[in-house]
Amino acid sequence: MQLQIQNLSKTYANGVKALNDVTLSIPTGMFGLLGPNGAGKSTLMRTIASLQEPDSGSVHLGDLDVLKEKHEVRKVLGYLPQEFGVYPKVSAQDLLSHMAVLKGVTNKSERKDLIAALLERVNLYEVRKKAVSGFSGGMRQRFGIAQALIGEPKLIIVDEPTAGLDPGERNRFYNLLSEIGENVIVILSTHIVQDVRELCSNMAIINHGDLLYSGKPSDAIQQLENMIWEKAIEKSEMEQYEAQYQVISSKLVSGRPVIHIVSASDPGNGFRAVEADLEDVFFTQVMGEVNIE
Amino acid sequence: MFWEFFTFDFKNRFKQPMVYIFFFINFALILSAVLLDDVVVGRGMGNVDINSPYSIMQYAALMSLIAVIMTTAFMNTSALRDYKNKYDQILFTTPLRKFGYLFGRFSSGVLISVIPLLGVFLAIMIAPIFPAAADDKVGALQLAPYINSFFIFILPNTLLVGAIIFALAALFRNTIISFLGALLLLVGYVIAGNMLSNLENEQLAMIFDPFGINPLNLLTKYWTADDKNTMWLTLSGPILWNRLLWIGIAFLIFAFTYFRFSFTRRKSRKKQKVASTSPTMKQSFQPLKALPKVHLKDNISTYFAQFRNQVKLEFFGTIRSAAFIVILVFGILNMLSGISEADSWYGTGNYPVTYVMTSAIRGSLYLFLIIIITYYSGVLVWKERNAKMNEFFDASPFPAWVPLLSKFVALVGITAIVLLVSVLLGIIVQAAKGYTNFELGVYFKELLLIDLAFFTILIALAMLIQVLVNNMYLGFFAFIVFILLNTFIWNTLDVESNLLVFSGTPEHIYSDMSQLMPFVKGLAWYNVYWLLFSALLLVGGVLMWVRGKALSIGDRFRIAKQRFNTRTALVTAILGVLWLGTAGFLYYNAEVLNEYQTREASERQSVDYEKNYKQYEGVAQPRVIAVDYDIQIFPVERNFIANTEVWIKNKHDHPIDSIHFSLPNSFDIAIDLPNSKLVHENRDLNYLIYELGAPLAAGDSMQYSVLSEYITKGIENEVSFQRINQNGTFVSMNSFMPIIGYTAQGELGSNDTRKEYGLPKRDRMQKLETNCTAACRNNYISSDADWVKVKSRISTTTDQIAIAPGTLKKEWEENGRRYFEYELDQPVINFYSFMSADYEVQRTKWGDVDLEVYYHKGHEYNVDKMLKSMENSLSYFSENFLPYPHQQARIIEFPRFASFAQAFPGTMPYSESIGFIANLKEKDAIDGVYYVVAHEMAHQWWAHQVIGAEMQGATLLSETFAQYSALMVMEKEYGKNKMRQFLEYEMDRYLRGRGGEREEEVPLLEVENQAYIHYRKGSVVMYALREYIGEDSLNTALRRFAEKVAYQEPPYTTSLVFMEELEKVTPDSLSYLLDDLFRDIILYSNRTTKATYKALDNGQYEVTFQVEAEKFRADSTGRESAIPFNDFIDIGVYQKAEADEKFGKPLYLERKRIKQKENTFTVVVDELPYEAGIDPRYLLIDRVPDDNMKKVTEE
Repeated sequence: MQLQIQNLSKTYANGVKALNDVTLSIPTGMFGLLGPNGAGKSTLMRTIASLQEPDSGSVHLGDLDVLKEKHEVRKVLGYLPQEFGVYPKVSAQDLLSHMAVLKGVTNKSERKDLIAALLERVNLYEVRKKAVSGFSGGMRQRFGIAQALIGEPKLIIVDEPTAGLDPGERNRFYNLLSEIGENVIVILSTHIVQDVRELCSNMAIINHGDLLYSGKPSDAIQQLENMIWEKAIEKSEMEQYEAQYQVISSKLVSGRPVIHIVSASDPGNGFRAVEADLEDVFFTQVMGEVNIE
Repeated sequence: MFWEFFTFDFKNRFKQPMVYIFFFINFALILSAVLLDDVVVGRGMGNVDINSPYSIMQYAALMSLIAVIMTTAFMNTSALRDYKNKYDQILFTTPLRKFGYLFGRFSSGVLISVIPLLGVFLAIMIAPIFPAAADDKVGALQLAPYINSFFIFILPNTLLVGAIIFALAALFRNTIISFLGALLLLVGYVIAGNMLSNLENEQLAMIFDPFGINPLNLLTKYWTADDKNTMWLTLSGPILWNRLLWIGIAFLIFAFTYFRFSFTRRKSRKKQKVASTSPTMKQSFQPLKALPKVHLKDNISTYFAQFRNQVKLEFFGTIRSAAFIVILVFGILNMLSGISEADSWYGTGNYPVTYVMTSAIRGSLYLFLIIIITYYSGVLVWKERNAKMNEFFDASPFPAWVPLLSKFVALVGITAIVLLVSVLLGIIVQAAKGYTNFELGVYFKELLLIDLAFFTILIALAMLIQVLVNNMYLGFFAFIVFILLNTFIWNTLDVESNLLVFSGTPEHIYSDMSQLMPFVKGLAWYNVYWLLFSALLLVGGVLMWVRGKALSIGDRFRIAKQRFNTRTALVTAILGVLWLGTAGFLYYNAEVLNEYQTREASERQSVDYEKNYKQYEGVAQPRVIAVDYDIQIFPVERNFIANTEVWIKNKHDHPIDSIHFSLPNSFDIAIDLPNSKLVHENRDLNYLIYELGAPLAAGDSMQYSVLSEYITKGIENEVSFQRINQNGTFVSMNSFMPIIGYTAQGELGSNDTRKEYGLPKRDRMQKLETNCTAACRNNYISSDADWVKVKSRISTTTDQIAIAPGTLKKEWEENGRRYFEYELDQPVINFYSFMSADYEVQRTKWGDVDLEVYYHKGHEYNVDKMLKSMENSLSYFSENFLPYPHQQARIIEFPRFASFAQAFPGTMPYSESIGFIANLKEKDAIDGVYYVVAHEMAHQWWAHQVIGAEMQGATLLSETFAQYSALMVMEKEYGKNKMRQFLEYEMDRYLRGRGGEREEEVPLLEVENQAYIHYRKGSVVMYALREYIGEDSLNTALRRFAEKVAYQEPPYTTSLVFMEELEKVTPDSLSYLLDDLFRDIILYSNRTTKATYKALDNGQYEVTFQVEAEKFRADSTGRESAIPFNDFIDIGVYQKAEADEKFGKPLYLERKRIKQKENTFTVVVDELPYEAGIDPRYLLIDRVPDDNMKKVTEE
C-alpha cells in the first residue's frame, strides 16, 4: 500500500501558497517530510489526515480517496498533530480510553488491555491517573503517540513531534517511533534534518509549498558527492563569501563561522572537501537557486 | 515589583471570559429587576424612578454583597494562580519582593472583581431606553449617585471580601475552603444583620455593619418617594466612619496574610510521592511488546457508544467546572430568597403549594439557566478547540453528528440537573414550612416537561449559532441578540403567532382545580413543532460542524455537501415532512379553524367601533327588565351554549323604532328579534341595528331571544377564554350577552393609545355634578338595564355542580347530564355569573339564609373562616344598614386564571389564589380571607342595593363603603390593634399607588375607579372618620343614605348625596375633616423625635415625648405644599406587644388639638411604657407612617 499525492495545491485566503502542485508517493516505512518552518508541511499533513480541504489535486491511500472517503481514512489513521492540548482535568487513562472508543474499540476488556499496553509502551503507566493537562512536554508527546497508535493504524502522521523536547526526551520519542511496524506508512514532518537522517528510509523536502526533492536520503546525499566544501572564516568576511560562492549554510564553531558551499569543482581558497550529509542536501534544496546536476 | 505583578495579572485576567460573564449576569439581573415587575432582586424598590439615586444605592449595596461569590472566584484565582499553573517553582525561586508580589496580586484581584459590579450601573443607566420602562418612572441621568455608590459600597465591600478570601486562599490554598468561607460570610452576615437591625442604638448598628447596608437603610428610612428620586448619600457622617473602619479592617486582614504568607511550598506527602516516582526519571525505552489485538468496529452501535462516552465526558466536565458551580450557587441563593417568601399578601403567606414553588423557581432561577445555556453552548462547542485537542480528536473515525449531538444532549442533561436541584430545593422549602403534599407530578410537568422542552429548543438554537458563527464570543453575542430580538421585535411587528415567535407555545397557568387541562393539547403540539424544528437546526449544525482546521466558508459548505449523504438526506426529509406537517396542522387549527386578534387588530377594532358608532351613544333604547337563561356547559369539550330570553321595556316617553346591539367578542351570537328587520350588520365591529316592524311605544315591553355559543375547536394559538375549562368554569353574563346600544366600554381607554389613532382625549369618568338627571341615567355597572328579574336553567356533567344566581328551585339528572334551576328572589343589577366545577360544599345557616362555600377538594383550609366571616358580615350589615335581600350567600372557588373575588347577587366567585390556600396560622398576620369575604359580602349592600351613577365618586359608594364595612366586621373579630396593622398596609399601598397614577390623583369624593383611592385611601379615610365622629353617627349616615337610594330607578345617586347625609351627623367642630378626607388630598407628616420616661415613686411612670406635625395639601400632579392647621390628632403611649402580637395595649390615648409643628407632651401612665408618639393608630394619612411612634428610653 502506498500513499499517492497528485497535484495537490492550496492557497490560503491571505494569499499564502501553502502547497503548489505537489505530487508525491509515499511507500510504507518511515517517511521524512523535511522543510523549514512555514514550508507547508502541516498543511500537507492535515490534508492527508482529512482535516483540511485542498484547492485542487487528490490524495489516495491505496484504493481510498482520502479527500472523499474521509471516514474510511480516519479508521486507519493515527495522527499526532504539531501542537496539541487535552481536555482539562482528564486523566491519561480516561482520555486514552475515550479516544479508543472514538476509534471504534468498543469492547470494554479489549480496550482496557490495549490502554494498559499502550501506557506501558509509552511509559506513562504509573501516571495513568494523573491529568494529561499537567504533563510535561515530553510526557504529553508520548501520550500523543499512544493515542495515535490506537487500533493498529495503517497510516501514522506525526507532525513536528520533537519540537521543544530536550535531547533525552527526543531520543525516547524516536525509540517509540522506530518500534512501529514495517508495513505501516509513517510520515514524520520536521524541520530538523537529524530526525530524518536517523529514522527515515524515504524523504521529501518542501519549501514555500513546492516539492523540492523526494527520494531516499542516501540518494540525495549521493547527488551532492564531492560538491560540498567547507571553510572557517571571520564574521566580517561573510558578505564577501556569500557574494562569491553558493553558500548553503554557516554555523559557529568555537565562535567562528564555518561555511559550507556547493561547487562542482574545487573552489580552492582554503576550502576543503567534506562528505555531504543530509543537512547539506536540505540547505542546498532550500536555498533553491543551487543547481545540482 | 508591585506594578509589574499588578499590571501583568490585571491584563491577563481582563482577557478571561469570566469577567464578562459575571458582568453580564449582574447587568441582566438588575436590568430585569428594574424593568420587569416579576423579577425581584433583594426587595422591591417601591414607588421610585427606576434610575433613582435610591435604587442605584440599594442595588449597589445589595449586589456588592451578593457578588461575594464572584469576588471569591476572582480572588481565589489571584491567590492560587501560580500554584495551579505550576509556575510557582519558577516564580518563587526568584528573589522577588514579597510585598510587591502579594499586594500586586491582591489589588489586581480586587480591581477585576469590581468590574462585574459595574454591570449594575450600566443596567440602571440604560434601563430607561427600553420600551418596558414607564415614562413616569424615569428620572434624569445623574453621575454623582453612581460615583458615590461606587465609593461607598462597591469598592470598600469588594476590598473587604477580597481581603478575607485572599487570606483564606493564600493560607489554605484550597478552592473549596475559599468558597465555603464565602458562603459562611454571606450566611453569617444575614444572621448578624438581623441582630444588628434589632439594636436599639442606631448609631452602633450603623458603624458595625461591614457592608454598609444598615447605615443605608437607617439613613434613608424617612425619605419620601420624592426624596428617593432626588437625594443620595455621600461619603460623610456615620457612613464615612463605617467605611473607614471596614477598609481599615480589610487592610489589617491583608497585613495578616502578608506576615503569615511564606514562599516555601506547603508540602504534602502526596506531592512528594509523585515527585519521586516521576516517570521522566525512569528509562522510557521499554523492551518491545506487541500491542494486544483489538477489534475496530464501525457500525451504528459503535457510533452510539462514542456518543454515550462523549455525552458523559461533556456532562461531568461541565458540572464539575468552577464557573458552573459559581453561577449555579448564585442562582440558587437568589432562588431561595425568592421561593421562601413567595406570595405574601397583607403579611399572610400562602401554603407553599407546588405551583407557588414552580412559579417562584421560574422567577428567580431561569435567568441564571439562560446564562448557563448561553455560556456552555459556546464552551461545549469550542471544548476541543479551546483545549487544542481538536486535531487528533477530529481525525478519529466517528460520524460528524457525534460531537454536536453529544454536546447538545449533555447541555440538556445539565439543564435537567439544574431543574432537578430546583425541585429538590422546592421540596425542602415546602417541608421546612411544614407543608408535605409534595406534588411531584406538578413539579415534573411544569419544570421537567414544559420548561425543559423550552430550554431544549433554546439549546439547539444556541448550539447552531455557535457552529455557524464559528467564534465563541461572537456566538454569545449573536445568541443574546437573537433572544432579545425574539422577545421584543414580534410585538413591534404585531406578530403573535406561536409558529413564528421562536420557541413560542401557548401561555399556560397551572391551577389545582383545572390543572393543565385547558392547555395540554396546545402545549404538546406547539412543543412538538418546535422540537422538530430544533432537530432540523441540529441537522444543520451537524452539516456545518467544523471538523478540521483553517476551513474557509467554501470548504465548510463543500464538507456539508459531502456529509449530506443519502442517510442524512433521509433523516432531514423525515424531520422536514414531520415539521411541515405539524406546521400545517397547527396553522389550520390556529388560523383557519380558530382565529385570534393581535393587539393592533383589537385596538383597530375598538377605534373603528368608536368612529363608526359613537354617533349612536345616548340614542333612546329600551331597557332590559327580565332575563331567562338556558345554559349548557360542557366542561370536557370546553363548550358553553346559552339560549336566553330577554324582556325589554321602553322606559322613555316616546316610541322607539330601532334597537342597537353591541356584541361580545368571544362568543358567536344569533339574535331573534321578532317582527323586525336587520338593517345594519357589522360582525367585525360587533354592531347590529334592527328596525322594528312597529315602533315600541312608551311604557311597552317586548321579548327577544339570543343564542350565544362558545365552541372550542382544535388548537388555538393562545388558549382563549380560559374561564371555560374542564373544572372551574366561571362565565359572567356580560361576556356572552349583547349589550343594547352603543357602549363606551368598547372604546380604547388609554389616552396615550387614543392619541396614536387620532382619537380625542377622553375623560376617565364624567365630572361629578349635583342634581344630575341625563348624566345619571346609567349606573356604573350596566348601561342597558336597571333592576332585572333573573331565572336560569343550567346543566353540566354529572360530576360537577353548576351554579347560577338565586335560589335553587329544582335539580335533576337527565340524559347523563345534571340540571339545575335557579331563580333570584329580588330584581338585581344586570351583572352576575354562571359557574360549574366538581365542588365540595360546606353549608350553614344564618337565620333563614343558606350560607354555602363551594370549594375544590383539598382546599378546605379556610372554609370555616369564610363561613364565619359571612355570618358576622350578615349580622353587622343587616343590623346597621339594610336587611339582606337574598335567601342565600355563596362563595364559589374558581381557578387562578384570575386572582380576585367578585360579588354578584348572593354569589361571590372567589379565586383559588387569594385565600383558599392562605396560611392563616401565623397569629400576627392579618386574616386576609376574613377580610375579603367581608368585603364581598358588603357589596351585597354597596353595589347590589346602593349603586352610584356612572360618574366620578361612584366607587366611593361601593368599594370604599365595602372596605369600611369589612373593617368593622374585622375589628369586631380581631380587635383595634389588628386594624392598626391593616391600615398600615392600606396606607402604604395608597402612598405607592399615588406614584403609579397615570393621569391625575383626585379627591376621594371624585374617585374615578382608581383602586388605590377607593380601596386603600378609602379604608384609611372611613376608619378615621369612624374614630372621629363615632361608629353610630357614621352608620346612621350610611343607613339613611341607603334607605334613600337603595334599588332606585334612574337617575342614579352620586357621592354628593352621601355627603349631605354625612354632614348631618358631623359636629361643626369636625366639619373641616370632611373637606380634608373627601374633598381634598391631604397628607400629614407626623413623627416623634424623642421619647423618654421615668419611674415615679408611686409606681407610675411619667412619659415625656416630642412630636412634630405638618400638614400638606397635594394638587392633582402630586405636588405638595404645607398648609397651616389646627387639627385634632391622637397622642398615645403604648405597652410592649405580647409575644404573638404586633402592637401592645394603649396606656394613654387622647385626642389633642395641635396647631404647631413642634409639641411636647408629658403624661403619667400606670404601667411600664414601651412606645409613645403621635397618631399611633395611623388614622391620618401620613407621608412616612412608620415614624409616628418611638420607643421610650429611660431618662
